[in-house]
Formats: sequence, C-alpha cells, structure tokens
Amino acid sequence: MSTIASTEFWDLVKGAITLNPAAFEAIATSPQATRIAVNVLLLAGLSQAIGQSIILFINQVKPLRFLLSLILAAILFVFSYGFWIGSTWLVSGVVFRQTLDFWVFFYTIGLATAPQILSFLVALPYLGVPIQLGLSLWALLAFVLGFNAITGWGIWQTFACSVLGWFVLEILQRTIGKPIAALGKWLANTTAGTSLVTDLRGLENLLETGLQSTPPHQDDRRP
Amino acid sequence: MTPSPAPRIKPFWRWVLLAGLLALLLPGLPPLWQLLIGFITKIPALIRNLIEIGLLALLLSLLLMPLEALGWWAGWYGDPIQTTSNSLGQFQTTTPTPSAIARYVVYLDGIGQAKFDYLPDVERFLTDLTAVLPDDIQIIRGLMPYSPMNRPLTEDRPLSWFWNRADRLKVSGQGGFLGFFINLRNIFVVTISADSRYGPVYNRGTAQVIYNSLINHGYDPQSPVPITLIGFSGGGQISMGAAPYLKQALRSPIDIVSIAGVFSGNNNSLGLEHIYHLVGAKDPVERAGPIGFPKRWHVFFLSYWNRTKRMGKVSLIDLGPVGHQLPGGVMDPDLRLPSGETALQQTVNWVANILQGKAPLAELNPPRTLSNFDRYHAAPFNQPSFYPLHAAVARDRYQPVANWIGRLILPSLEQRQTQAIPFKVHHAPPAYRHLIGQVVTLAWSEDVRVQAYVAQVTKDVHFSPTAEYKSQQGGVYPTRLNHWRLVDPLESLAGALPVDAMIVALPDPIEVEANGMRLRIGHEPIQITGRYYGLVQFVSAIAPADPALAASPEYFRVVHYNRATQQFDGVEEVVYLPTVMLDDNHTAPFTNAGIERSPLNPTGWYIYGAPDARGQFVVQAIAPRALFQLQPTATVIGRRAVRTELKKTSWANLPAQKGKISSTLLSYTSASLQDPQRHWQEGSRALLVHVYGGIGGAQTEPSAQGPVYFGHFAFGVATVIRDPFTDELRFDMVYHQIYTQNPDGLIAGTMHWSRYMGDRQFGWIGIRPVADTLIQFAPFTGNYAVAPDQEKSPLDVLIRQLEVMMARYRIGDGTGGTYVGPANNCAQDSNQSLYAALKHMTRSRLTTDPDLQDWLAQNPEEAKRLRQLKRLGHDLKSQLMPWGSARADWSTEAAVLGSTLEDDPLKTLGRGLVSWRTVLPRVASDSITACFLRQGAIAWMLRTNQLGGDNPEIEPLAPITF
Repeated sequence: MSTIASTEFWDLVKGAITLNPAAFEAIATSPQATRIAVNVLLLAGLSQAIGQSIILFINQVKPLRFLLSLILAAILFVFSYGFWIGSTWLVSGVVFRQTLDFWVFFYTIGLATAPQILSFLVALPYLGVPIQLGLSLWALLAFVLGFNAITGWGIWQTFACSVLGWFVLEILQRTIGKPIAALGKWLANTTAGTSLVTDLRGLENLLETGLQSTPPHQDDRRP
Repeated sequence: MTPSPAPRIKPFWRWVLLAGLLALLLPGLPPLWQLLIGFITKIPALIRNLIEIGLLALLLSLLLMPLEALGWWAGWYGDPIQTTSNSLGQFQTTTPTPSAIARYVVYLDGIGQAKFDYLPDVERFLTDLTAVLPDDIQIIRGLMPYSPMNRPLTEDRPLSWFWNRADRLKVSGQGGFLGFFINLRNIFVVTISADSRYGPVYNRGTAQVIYNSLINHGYDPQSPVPITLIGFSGGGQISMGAAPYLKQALRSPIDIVSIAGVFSGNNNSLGLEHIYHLVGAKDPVERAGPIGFPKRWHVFFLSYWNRTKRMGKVSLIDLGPVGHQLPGGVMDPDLRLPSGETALQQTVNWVANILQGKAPLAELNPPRTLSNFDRYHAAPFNQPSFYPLHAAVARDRYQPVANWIGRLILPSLEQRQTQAIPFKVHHAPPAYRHLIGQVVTLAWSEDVRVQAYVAQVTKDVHFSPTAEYKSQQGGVYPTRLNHWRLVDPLESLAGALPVDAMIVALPDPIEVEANGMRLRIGHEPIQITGRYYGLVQFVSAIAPADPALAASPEYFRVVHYNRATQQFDGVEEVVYLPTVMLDDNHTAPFTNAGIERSPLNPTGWYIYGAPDARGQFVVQAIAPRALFQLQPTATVIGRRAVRTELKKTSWANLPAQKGKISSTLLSYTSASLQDPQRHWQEGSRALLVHVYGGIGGAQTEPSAQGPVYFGHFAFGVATVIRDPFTDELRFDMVYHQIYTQNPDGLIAGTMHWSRYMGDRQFGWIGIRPVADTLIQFAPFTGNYAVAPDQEKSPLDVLIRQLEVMMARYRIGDGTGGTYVGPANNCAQDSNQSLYAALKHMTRSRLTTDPDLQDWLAQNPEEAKRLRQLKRLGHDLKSQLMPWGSARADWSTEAAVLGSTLEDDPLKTLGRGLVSWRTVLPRVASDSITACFLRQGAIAWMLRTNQLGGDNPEIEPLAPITF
C-alpha cells in the first residue's frame, strides 16, 4: 500500500481520486479534517452544477443569476450530502450497532466524494454521458473505500447501510424535513429568477414550442 | 525537365577545405556541444508540456463548445428568434418567383465551412447541380449550419481573426494544419448536435435558421411544397437534427439527401418522407458514423435510425470507389470512375435524379406485399357483384338474414355528408322492397346518447409513418380515409377496406325517413355474410367433371329441414361451395371435402349465402346447428370442477377434438341450474366472452411458430331467439371485435357469427379452435328501470363502450392504425371497456339518486340485483387490477392507441403488467368467467375445433394460459 505524501488538501484529494486507501486514514491525522471535507464537498458540488448546467440554460437563466445559481448549487450540495452522511451515520448506529464518532464519519465520507470534483467533464458533448456513468462507479468505489477505512466493512454491508441511509433521508425529506427541502428549492428558484423545470419531460416541453417566424428581411437577400 | 550537371570539385581540395573548417571551429565546439546536449535532454519534457497544453486547450474548447447553442437558447445573445434572422442565405441562381417553385432545396455544407462562402469544390458541385436541374427546383445556399445562430466563424467572435487566417490559408490550399482546426471545431459541433442533452437545443436553433431562411425566400408555411435538405458530411447530422423540428412546424413533406453524411441516428426521422444516403466505398470519414454512434449499431434496434430503416424510408446508395473530401472525394472533378464519369458528375447525377424523382431506386424499396384480403377479394365469389340483387330464393327453404341488408359505400371527398354515407340496399322489409338495388342515405340517429358516441370518436385521419408503411406491407388499413377531416364511425367502417365491400345488416331500432330514402341507426351496422340462410344436411358431394379436382368438390347435394316432420327430409337441391382462396401461408381457410361425413352433419348446418347469376345458391358461410341449440353436451358443477374444466379439460387433447364441438354448462352451485327455462327465455341475452387459438400442424401459421401462442379475446352478446325453421330456441351470436389492422381484412366492429366465424373465406370456422363462453347473470344482463336517456342494462353500457373502442381502433385515433402491444391489445382494450361500463353503472344515478333510493326501498328485487352488481364490480376490479389502483390511462379513458411498443417500451410494458390478467386472452376469459360464476351466474361454454371438411395439413392449437 502506498502512502500519502502529506495531509495537504490536494494530496488528500489526489489520494482519494486515485482510490488510495491511505488517504482515508491520513485525513484523520489532519487537524483541519472537517474543513478539508467541506471544501471537497463544495468543489464537488460546484463541479456537478457545472456539469449539469444545461438545465439552467434550458430554463433560460440570465448570466449573473447563472453564476449565483452555480454557487448556490455547490452550497446546497454540501448540505444535502451532509444530511445523507448524517442519516447513514444514524443507520450505522441504530441498525448496525456501530458506535462511530460523527465527525470522523463526516470527513472520511466527505473526502470520498473527491472523484465527483471531475463531474464538470459530464458537460462534454457526446462523451459526457459515458463519463457520467464512469464517474458514478468511481465515486461508489471511493465511498466503499472510505467506509471501509472507518468501519472495516465489506462492500455489501457498506452498500446496505448507505442505501438504508438514503432511504431514511428520503422519508425525512417527505415528512419532518419537508420545510428544509422546500427552503432549498425556494432558494434555487429565487436565485435563478424563474421556477426551474428539472424533470426530463418538462425540459423537453420547454424546447418543443413550435418554430416562429420573424418578418422577412428583404435587405438580407443577397443576389 | 532534365537535371543540370552539378559543378565538380576535385576530391583533394575537398579534403583540405574540410580540415581547415574543422581547425577553425574546434575551440568553440565543447560549449556548443553541451548546449546541444542540454537542449536535447529537455526536448521530451518540452514536447510533453506542449502536448499537455494542447490537450488541455482541446478539453477546454470542447467544454465551452456547447455554450454557443445553450447561450443562444437562454437568450444571452439577445432574443433567440431575432438572433437567427440575419444573412439567411440566397438562391443558387437568380431569384425566381416563389409561386413557380415546386421544390425547395436547402444545402448544408460539410465540416470544412468557416463562413457563408464555400470551398471551390463545393461551389463547383452546386454550379453543376443547378445546371442540370429544372427552374422549378431551387437551391438555397449560404447558411452556416455549424452555428445555432447562423453566425460564421470569421465574424463577430473573439477568435474570428484566427478563423479568418485559417480559412484564407485553407482556401489558398496552403494552410493544411490551420485548416484542420476548422474541421476539428466543426466536428465538435456535430457531436453537440448528436448529444442527447445539447442536441435538442442546438437542433432547435438550426431548424429555426432553416425555417427563417425558407420563409425569407418566399416559402409559404401553409403550402404543401416539398422540402429537401442536402447535407454534405457533417451537414448530414445537422439536417437530421433540424428536420424533426421543421416537420413539426410545416405540414409539407421533407426528405434528406445525405452526401457522405456523418450522423448519429438518434434524431426522430420517422416522420420524414425519405432519407437518401450516398456513400463511397473508400470513405473513412463517413464510417465514423456507423461505428462511433451507438444508435446506428444494429443492436439498438429500437433507435430512430434503425426503425426508419425498417420502415423502408432509407435508401443506401453506393458511390463506388470514392472517398470523402478532395482529392478522391465525392466532389472530385478529376477522379475518373470505371463508369467513365467523374466522381463529381456521379454525385451531381444522383442528387439531380433524386430531386426530380427519377433516381433508379425502385429496387431499393421493399416491394409492396399483397394482403390476404387482396388475395381473397380476387376471387369473383368474394365480390358483391357476384350475387345479383334481384335473384329470388325459395321462401320455404330460405329466410333473410335481417330486415335491412346492404353495402356501405364510401363517398368521394366532394360528396361527403356530415354523419351520413350512401347505402346500397340489398334487402329490405316488404314495404320497402322497391328500394332494393337503390342507393339510400344511412345516417346516425339524433338520440343524445348516439350523438355523444359519434362526437367522441370522430377524428381527423392522418396516417402515422408506421401505418403508412404497414399499409404497403400486406396490412389492410383505411388508406382511402388518409387526410380526411372529421371521420365518423360510419365512414371509418365504409372506408376500412380498400374497396366498397362492406356488407352489413342494420341493427334495430331503425328510423325510416323520406319513404326509406334516409335510414337512421343508433348502433354500429353489423358486418354479415350472405343475404339468406337455410338449414340443411349434406347428402353427397357431386364429383367434379375434371378428375384432377376430385379432392375439392364444389357442388353438394343437400336436403332441407322439414318443419312438419322435424327431420331432414324436406326439399333436396344442389348448392355451390366455391373453393376458397389460400392465405399467405398457403392454408385454405375452409375445406369442403368430407363435410358430409362430419360428426356435425346429422344435426344439420345453417348455410348463409345468396344465389349467383345462374340462380344457384352459393354457400358463403356455414354454421353447425348443434352449436346454437340450448342442449349442452356436458354439465360441470362446483367451483373446483369448473376451474379444472376452464384451465385444463376445455382445451385438452385438441388433435382428437378436430372437427368437433362441445357445449358445456358451467355453474358453481347446482341450485342455479334448476330452472333453465327462467334463464334462457326467448329474448334474453348473455355476455359472450370469446377466445380463439392458433393454426398448428404442417401448415402452422407464422405467429404460432414460437413457443407460445397468445390467441385473441373479444366480447359479444348472445341472444336467445326462436329459430324460424325448427321453432326451437337457439342462440344468435354477435361479436364486438376490438381487432388491430391485419392482413385478412378483418375489421374492428360488430360482427355476426356468420361473418366472423362462419364465413368460409374470411371467417375462422375451418381453421381456428374457438371458445365462446356465454354468461347469464341477471344483474348484469337484465334491464333496470332507468331514466329514458340512459342505457337500460349494464350490458348495454358495455356495448356502447365497446362501440367507442371499435371505432377508435378502426382509425387508430386518427393515426390510421392500431398495433398490438402488452398494454394495448384486444384483451386489454376489451377489458378497459368492461371497466368503464362497470364504473359508469356504479357511478350513475342508479345508486346515488335519492329519489331512486326511495324507489329501491319499495322494490327489493331490483335493489338486490343492484347489490349483486356492485359486488361483481368489486370482484372484477380486484381481478383485473390486482394492485388496487386502476391504470391511469384506463380511468381517464385516454389510452393512446396509435403508439407502438417501440415508442416507449418500458412504460408500455409497465402498463401491461399492472393489469396482467388481461394481457393473455385465455387468462382474461377465465378470470372474468370465474368472477361472474362466483356471484351466482351460469355460463355456457361453446367450443369449436376447425369444423367442416377434413384438412390434414392443420391442427388446432390452444392459446397459452397459466
């Protein structure tokens, strides 16, 4: 097993992206572990927002609001991912009887999102779709490694715990977490300056308004 | 040119010179050497850095590439529509008058294009093409297809100085390397157009540019003037991407000529007229398309490209040993081909011929296939004109099939009337006998219920590409109705066949107006076969004069039923059973030979037909009397016994059953069978549940050659009538067939047993095993006291619902055709009607009106029936929709009929699964029968197994169940 050069931000990120298990152990030794994790999440969120910015374009968001929307998306990503880490931590404690320190859990899993910093590549024309698929598999591997570093669990147990965690989060969002989810949506819409359509069918509908003609420009007709 | 001799220096002096030079340079050599070494060691790093920078720049530019299209749509460069309205190209030749143009052609250039002007080879191609085209075909040129805003690279961009320089060098033929950047940039654009996320935005932009350009050149968007997009190289993808949006905005036919086009195959090309794809054998660039774009691989058989290909809308044209660009490309004026013409001439000729409809493409299109209906109708005895209308029959032997019989005639477009069609009278009641042979008007009743039904199903008919294609491939589609507005159910019935051959009986009640010149009906006409029918026993076949035909006798001696003796000892005569035409599987739908030896012959046959020109009675349809008699061959009582009968016994041991029938009475309790007279009184009705099986044996039909055979499902109504020949009670059966378009010319609609089953040519009697289960359940089939504007019985509500569905099927909700899929097929849609009928009954005033509640309290018998009906509804609902909730498309009654499985495979499969019991015809039939029996109904199952003479080539095949 290779080691990590230092606990500097980029070294840790590089380690996590290259799926080096040492990175997940090394972050525990850093005094700024939580800040590093939040930064990774912010970057991953921003990158993902850029990768999916086509949604903002189709909704015809203007340039300044576009920029703000990207930043907001990055912040919202930190929160939503943070909540998921929280619910997974809860599940690991309640269901799997693991007593883990929440913050250790948070920064390790937070670092595991490092591969998603490359999410902006999803915006590449035509290649973007396979890249997206590859990145999600990659991120899953990093997640399993990170999980393994703290719990020593294998892939299936990790998977079960994270899916359960996701399930709990979904339930929370639809019940007591509803105001928070609504707040996030309201923030996104307000920043974009329009009620964002995000589902595929709705996006298609936006584009399918019929072609319109403009008055003919007679002078443009060259002989 | 001859080489000039080099000046010679003597060898000695050469050496002296070299030594002197060396001595002079020697002191300076070591530092120079070190410098050189140092430089050489740094070269790899330098090259690596350069490559890295280059790759990063490439990645960055690729990432930024969609920005132009996305920013355009988001309005970052101004109004999206306005920004596409500059420099909209010009006609290739001098401006003609737009009204004289018969076809607009828009040229979209290849990836080498940087501005509105073209490279010299393209200019030459367009000049040569225009020279051979007639004046009424006009080419629009000068669009920039590699920008959603029609913006050239060389103007109004941060890097326009770079593109300008690259383009200048490229045109002059020196800037190979810089020119490559133009190609690279435009290749990126092609990938954007092909991208499933950016493509819609980008293609929307180019479509807007093309649209604006057409309008700017005098194109009338309301006109039907056809449009052709010519896409060279990357222009292929651009035209494929833009065409669907143009097709949405314009009604005119659009086709695409792709010259060595590179395209992705994921744009909806189904609606286009045709795609002509011209490719040379030495073209490496075009090859990138079928290799690099997965949607063009054969594995993705549901992709738009592959579906368009299957529909025969793609012509692949081989250009021979030709490459892509110059030299040696499709527009090379110097490359001589084996045929003697140049590559350029060849391309120009193909394109010019395609544009003028003269290209020798006939052999490329799939040939038109004959339908079974075409085959059958070719025989004179299958045409209405074979049976003179005034020929008389002996009234003691034959009875008319119905009071009013006639032929539906589809009027010409100019002679159309609202809600009415011409009707040629074939038979009329005695008071109107003078109308026989005349054409009267058949119209819909003005009753509100009838008008509501007609309004619900009246639709404009425009064939979908699939319907268009399938109508060429042996399917019987209402081709005569294509592009008709507001087609009502009478017209859709009259126009369902390619010729006016729809013979019908009019259903009661008939309103006779204007002394019979206008007849009004409230229900769909009943498709029938024959004008008269009689009851006979076959005595013997008359051997044909030609011994070669001995195996298929056509004339038979028959003896009629004698009412006085109740025996077959009446009048003897000879009837004519013309040998039927074979279907596309070479199977004869009916076999005459051996019919006199059939086990059904002793009880007799009903023969349906009419006299021919010689006065000879022609047997068009046939029906075994025993099947319709109220005399069961077996009775099965008890829940378990009935279940075994339905699941196993009724369809068991089929080969041995061939040529035989069975008539089995089913009930869960013996109590309900005690008083048969009460259940089967004259005039009482039963719900008919129909299932058919397949044709097996040596001549197994194609759809039964797989491991399972699905079969077919339909509802119908059986009425107990008194037989005019025997005076005994018997069943009279009518089907309400929800049937997709098919090669046999079987038209969705109300069909009498004599047509759907008994017809020797068009019916199933001779070739398919059939189960008709008649369900008698008073709460469902009986009448209720209701308001005058309501149907009296749940069965009537069901019939009305089925009529709606049948009319929708006939024109595919305006798309021309309906197709079988897991979510939409005969069984699913019949049961959607049943679901709608039950919902209607439980929701109607019957159960909610407070006045009625009082009335019900005073009429306990009626109230009891209603409660039973409600229980039946709940039971059926839990059976048909086991997961509790109705299919969303059922409860809103807005099921999409015209879609095929290919349009949305997952959703369609999902819809089918929710109502899985109704996917398989036999399972649906058994489930429904069981539901009724649970509520105390009695059922009568009538099974037939390939009746008539003996055909050793076929065997009955049971439909699948589990």
